[in-house]
Order: sequence, then structure tokens, then C-alpha cells
Amino acid sequence: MSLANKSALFHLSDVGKEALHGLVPEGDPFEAFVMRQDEVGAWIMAGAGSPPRGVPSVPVTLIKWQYVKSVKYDHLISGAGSEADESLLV
Amino acid sequence: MKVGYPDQMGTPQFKVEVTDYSISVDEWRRAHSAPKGELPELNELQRDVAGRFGISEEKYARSVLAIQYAVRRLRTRAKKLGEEVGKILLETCAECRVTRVVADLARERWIIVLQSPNRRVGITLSQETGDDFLDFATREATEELRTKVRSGLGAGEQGVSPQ
Repeated sequence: MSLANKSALFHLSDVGKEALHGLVPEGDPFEAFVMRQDEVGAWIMAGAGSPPRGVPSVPVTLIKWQYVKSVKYDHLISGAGSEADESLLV
Repeated sequence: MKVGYPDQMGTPQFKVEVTDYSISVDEWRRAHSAPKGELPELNELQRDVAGRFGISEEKYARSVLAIQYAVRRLRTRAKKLGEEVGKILLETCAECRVTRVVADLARERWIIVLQSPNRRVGITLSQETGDDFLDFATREATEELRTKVRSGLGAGEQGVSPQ
């Protein structure tokens, strides 16, 4: 399972909240777009909202797994509705 | 039966499936700037989760919209891949057809299911090779796809169409 290129809700531990205060979007949990993930943590697009059109780069922040209590994302159920969905027939 | 048969306009028809999604930064941006009227309605489970996590339904709906954008793009790419394989079949095995294309991102691969007059076979293509083929039509990716289609149908080294 990969969170890369997905929107996710991060719930930080108390230590994580203190360590990352001001560095991640406000809220508990907070929503972020995950650019990459590796064994160290999740690399999220920093800042609130989304980047304006045409910007050549976006700032990315590492959220170390050690600071994360839980993560929520929406998983695509393979084939869900596909049999009944005529739009899947191309 | 609709799946897998050309329609009257000669357009190939096959089933497209997507097993996972990958949102682009642009799709994320579009979803977060979309008018409220374009946001999808959350289902009961999603509303429940939004409430439990303390996030607004609008924010959740924007992430769902981003997923919808991503899945739509992947379906379009899967359709394009199936159509391109269909063109290869015209040269290789005219009586064969594509019946199903799966964007199996969960396993970082594409699956193309082919139907010949006497057998059904699925060929796999790495996500990287499929993307190279779709985005750049690289010689290597094109050749790999052609080889897999031919060998998958048993026409590889013998150079014959399956009976």
C-alpha cells in the first residue's frame, strides 16, 4: 500500500504535534497531499490549500512516521460497481 | 453482449478497470478550486468518517473529487492502451480482440486481456513500460508491447496466428 499521490488525513502523536507545530497544516487531524512515502515518513505538500496553476515547484515537508499516530485515506475498491457501470465499457 | 465486440462504427469496446489511483498535483489543485456545485455528494460512510475525524464534508468532498479526476484520467489511459493494442492485433491476429484492460496500479502494472477464437490470454506490462508507451511511444516500450501481444497469442516465434 502506498500513500504516494493520495490525499490523506494525518493524526499526529502529542510529541509529533509539538515537534511539527507550525510546519504542517493546522488541524487535528490535518489533510495533506502525499508526494512520496518511504521508510522514514511521508513527504507532503507543505502549506494550506493547493499551489496556484503554473508554479514550477512546490515545497514538500517530511512527516516522520515516529510522529504519526494514524493516517486515513480513501482506498479504491477494485471493481466496485464496475459490473453495473456501463461507463466502464469503452 | 457489449463487451469486447466492435460497435457499428468500428470502435473497439472492452472493459476498463482501475485498481488504485494516483492523484496529480494538478488534479489536487483543480479539486480544491472547483465550485461547490461540482463537488460529489458523500456517501453515508464518508459522512460518518468526516464527522469522526472532525473535518468538514466540503473538504472531504474535494479529496473525493480529486480521486474522481485521477480515476477518470486512468480510465482514459487504459482505453488508449487498449485501442493501441487493438491496432497491433489488426496486424497480428485480425480475429483477436481486446476484452479488458486493467490499470493495476496497486501492483504497478497494466493487464490487457485478449480473446482469440480459441483462447483467452492476459498479458502484463509494467506500469513504467505502459506509461512510456502512452506518454512517449518509446521504441523500447512499443517493441515490448508488440512482443508480448504476439507471444501471448502464441504467434511469437512461430509467427503464426492461433487457430
